[in-house]
Amino acid sequence: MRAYIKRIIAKKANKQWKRKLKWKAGKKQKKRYKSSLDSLHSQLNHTYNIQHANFVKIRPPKNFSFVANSNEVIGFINKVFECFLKRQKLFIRFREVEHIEYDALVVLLSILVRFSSHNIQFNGDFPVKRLPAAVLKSSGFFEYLYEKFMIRDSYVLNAKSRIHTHASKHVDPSLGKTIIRDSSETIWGENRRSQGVQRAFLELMQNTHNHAEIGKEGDKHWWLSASHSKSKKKVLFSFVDFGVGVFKSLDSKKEGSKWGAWKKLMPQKHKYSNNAELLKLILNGELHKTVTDKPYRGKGLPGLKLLLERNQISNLYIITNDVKADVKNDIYNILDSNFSGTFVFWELNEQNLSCNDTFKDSESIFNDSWSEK
Amino acid sequence: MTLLKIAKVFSTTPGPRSESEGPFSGQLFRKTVLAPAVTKAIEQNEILTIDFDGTEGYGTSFLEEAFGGLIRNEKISHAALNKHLQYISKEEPYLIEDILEYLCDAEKNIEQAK
Repeated sequence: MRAYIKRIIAKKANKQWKRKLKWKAGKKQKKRYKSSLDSLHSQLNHTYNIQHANFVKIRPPKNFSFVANSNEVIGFINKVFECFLKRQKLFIRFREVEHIEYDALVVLLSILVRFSSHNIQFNGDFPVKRLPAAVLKSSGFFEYLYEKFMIRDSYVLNAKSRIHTHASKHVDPSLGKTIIRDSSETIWGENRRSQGVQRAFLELMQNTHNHAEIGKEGDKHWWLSASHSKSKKKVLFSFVDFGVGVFKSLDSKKEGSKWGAWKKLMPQKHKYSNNAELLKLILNGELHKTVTDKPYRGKGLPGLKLLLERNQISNLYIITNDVKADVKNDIYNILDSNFSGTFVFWELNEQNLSCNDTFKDSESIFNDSWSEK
Repeated sequence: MTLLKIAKVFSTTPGPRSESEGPFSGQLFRKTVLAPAVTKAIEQNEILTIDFDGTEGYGTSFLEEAFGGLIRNEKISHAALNKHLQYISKEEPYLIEDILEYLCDAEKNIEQAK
């Protein structure tokens, strides 16, 4: 009996010993792997540092979303812009980024095209995390950047990616048709028209053409980007120009002119203490009403709020100078940093108004048609 | 009664205010299509019906330039326009109210300038 117990104990001890040896070997292997990885990383870092020694390295915020993290993204954009102005080579370290939205990529893209067109070198890496890396790759962002850009009036960045980007200095009504058709396929699975989105395009393009640069028309590019989400049946639109922005444009109105009187008239009729409160008044048509003494009829940037109210678009955000407006939720905030330009973001989804691609012809009820003469 | 369907006789993608801003502008529409049609309707004492449906959508500046410009640039009286113009806009009914307002504004601005 005793011999039997001894045998069992010996067998157990043997098993334990073997398990310990296996664990030790595994630990040794892990240690070896880690040290080789460290050395690989350090080698890569070394190569990276040598290759990009004279590049300015800038890290985007971990949450790289212009709408959700406006302050940090503006801070980052301003740094990138500073590099451009100083003609410094730029390396963007996406490595630590945890979340990426297309709205921020579009803004960055519109600046990096300037680097390319002015022959200023730039480069970047990918986020370590799988999800933001996938967003960055699927956006076609780097494919765009490998293209050689020249300084010109319009750009079409339409690679096989999820963001389709167009830029121009002029009002381009036919572009809207193409973008809306593509969007309606994603949302409704058929060709439809969205007069609301087309009006948003026209008002914003015209706004950039006429007001982005003080005293000069058609001087600044607008950038329009549509990112499609087939699974959520929606398309997100980002429109950006790097003009002077709403408030600087207003400040530049000459005294004695019709719109120059706003500075005097607005405080007499309305109470506001900062630009956030002023933007709310502007979007409600109060600036127009005060200056012209007439009801507001939806012109320009404030007209976008009407589109939201008519359910022609959803989730409207406006960022300009030091203000961010979440128009749908009526939240207007002052930002820490100044964004030199105007950024407008909205969504088109299944619930928004749209029209069939074919329309009922009214000609049959008329005896005569001007078009046939 | 004569029908002028913008989507058929001009463009399905009406554009900005002036020709310098981009294609299919309100200015171009007024000069080449709208003003001749309105003048003819007035001369022949007819009603001209303008149909806004079937386009991709309108910018406010296009409409203001086209219709306000009839009074401002083409010197057609507001009263004559009220008498000879009719509008159809089933897809965007708010356009008609906006256009009537642009006509009133253009007339008032001319009176103020006198």
